[in-house]
Amino acid sequence: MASVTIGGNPLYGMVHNGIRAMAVERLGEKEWLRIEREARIGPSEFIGLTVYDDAMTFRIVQIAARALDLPLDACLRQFGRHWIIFAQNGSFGAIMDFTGNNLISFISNLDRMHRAVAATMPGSSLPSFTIHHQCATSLSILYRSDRIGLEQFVIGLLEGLLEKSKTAGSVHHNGPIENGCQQFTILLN
Amino acid sequence: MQFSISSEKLAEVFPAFFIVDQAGHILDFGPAIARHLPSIQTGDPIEAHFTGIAGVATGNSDALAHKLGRTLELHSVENGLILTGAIIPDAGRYLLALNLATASLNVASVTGHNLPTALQISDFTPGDATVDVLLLVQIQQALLHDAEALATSLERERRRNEGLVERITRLAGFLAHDINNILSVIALSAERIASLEPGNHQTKRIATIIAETADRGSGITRSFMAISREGTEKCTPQSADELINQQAGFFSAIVGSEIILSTNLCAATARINVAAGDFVNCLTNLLINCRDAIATSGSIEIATRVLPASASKPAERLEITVSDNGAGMTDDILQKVFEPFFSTKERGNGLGLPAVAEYLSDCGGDVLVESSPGFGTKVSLNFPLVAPASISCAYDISDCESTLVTNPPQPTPEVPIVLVVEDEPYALEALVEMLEDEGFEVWPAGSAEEATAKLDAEISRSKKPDILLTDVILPRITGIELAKAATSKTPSLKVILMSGFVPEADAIREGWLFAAKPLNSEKLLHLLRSPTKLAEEIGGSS
Repeated sequence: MASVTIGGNPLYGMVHNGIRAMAVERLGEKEWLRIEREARIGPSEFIGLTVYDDAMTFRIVQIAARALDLPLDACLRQFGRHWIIFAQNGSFGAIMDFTGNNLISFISNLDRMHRAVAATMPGSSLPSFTIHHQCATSLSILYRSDRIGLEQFVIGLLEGLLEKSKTAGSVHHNGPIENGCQQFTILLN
Repeated sequence: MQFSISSEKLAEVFPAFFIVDQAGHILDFGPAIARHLPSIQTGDPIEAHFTGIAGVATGNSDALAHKLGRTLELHSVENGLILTGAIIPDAGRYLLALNLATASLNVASVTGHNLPTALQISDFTPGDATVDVLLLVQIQQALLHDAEALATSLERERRRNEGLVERITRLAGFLAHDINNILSVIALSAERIASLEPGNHQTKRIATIIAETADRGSGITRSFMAISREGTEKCTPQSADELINQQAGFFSAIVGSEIILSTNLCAATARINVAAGDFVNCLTNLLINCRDAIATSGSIEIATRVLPASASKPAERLEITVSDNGAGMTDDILQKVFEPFFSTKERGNGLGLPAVAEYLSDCGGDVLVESSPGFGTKVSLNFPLVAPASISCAYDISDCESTLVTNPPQPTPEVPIVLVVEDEPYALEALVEMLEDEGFEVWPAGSAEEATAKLDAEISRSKKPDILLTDVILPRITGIELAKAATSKTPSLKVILMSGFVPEADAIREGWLFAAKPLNSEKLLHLLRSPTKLAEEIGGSS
């Protein structure tokens, strides 16, 4: 079972909207409303670029995982994949396109996009992605975040990006390296 | 200083670069050019694709050399792309170190509206501030889009809720009407049973229980009717204490038998400007919350008192508190209780307390919620008081009835004829039997059409009824329409309307009387025997 350390860094409402979208798609509106009641949240917890306490977000994810009958890490991975689709199809679609139309350019420009988003949300803490090494058959990516325990979510994100760029491949988590980074490898078919 | 750089590295720094020979033919170009101007091929004269370098194709090498040291600006002849930068000479060639110009960029260009493909971050040099500007503009657009979507969603929910509330209030009215009809039959039949065996105390006791139970049921249906009139009633000066007492039965039914509902009403003479239906609905919302906060058994109290003027509130006001000894709320929940759609209940819709707050605001008052986990919750409603001088006599059927009760009935010298119109067959049967037992001649009719036919037939024989006793709600033609038509044929006709609904004041003519359902035979007989003003003036039966 995944454990997530809450470092007191807030996440933003768009994440809540993403979780809601996934839960409604798979469980229906009625079940989502039950999750909202259990999590004690309402419309004010879904304002896109407002930051919320991590504890609230992870409570929502845990309750959603239970409702989806998934272990937490599996739920995080599926949410990571869903997040890419959700962001692309929603109001952030144009920003996603501007960031890059292929896997390498998107990941290369992701930090720059995150910096602009962070400029509009004081107090937010967004992760960093860097292409460490690339060749014809693989990409090595360094992930840095103040949060611990979201590796399955990152795997899902990268799988979602593969799908978005119509690139065949698989994602693997290699573990931590120096400077607090986590290394991920995408093997390209 | 000299250094060499590969095309790949050059592309990272200047994604829109060109390398041209002295004649202006393109030798190489950057990935941004390939993406946005796919028609450009190596070997093409640059002048064929851009304006800004005149004379290059004619082999005028001075044209490019002339631009050295100045900012070069190229305008694409194919689309809105503008490139700016510098010319750098290099061993018989020129490097056009170019970047996308901010002057050519707007949001539309980012989304590809005037470019073949949408711009991307990779089209700009690293560190180009244009990228950050464009990202912020796009984020702003995303926020606006989300705000529009949220507003649309809230409007949709508001309309769905309005439609639901309207259906429920109409249903409440219909239920109240039908149940009152049934209770009337039960009450009248119970009286008939008691009258059949006047010496049988057990029969009389059972009949009394039936009648009292029907009366309690009528208290609940009166509350349904109050709710069904919500939004259509006008506000009038009312006593909150009286309204609360009148709804005691209904409120007790709301909270259930496991919860003790008590009242501590200390504002009998205070008046507030409210519509009864809205007021009842407001308290109903609060009582439902109290009930749901109590796990098994507990208590709820409704209290009223007049608060004197203070420095912060310069006028007296009426405070109504609804308190429970239920679970209470934590601070984080307490902060959200007035948020629409926020609810911690399984089947809650999160609209009760926001509706209460809106109602108090409309009344010129306010609401305060105090709560603590384990210590219950107290909701305080503050209403502005109506000044005594502004209280006028409001139309109130119950007042009319009570006034009539204090006037002693006058005996009629002859057998009065009553035209009774009631579409509920058992109720008609019970009424006919009761009235005949009391010495009336009864002409029964099951509809307005039947009553009209009977009336016309009797008038043609020079016989007229003295009293029209009619249900208000009849199929096709209402009792009020029937009464208007009948009184035009027989001006001295005394009219008594019966209904579970209290008709609007302007639908009733002066002199008409009203008997609320479920019927009480004593009150009904009093109305039948009491003189009307019209009858007195004519000098008719009294």
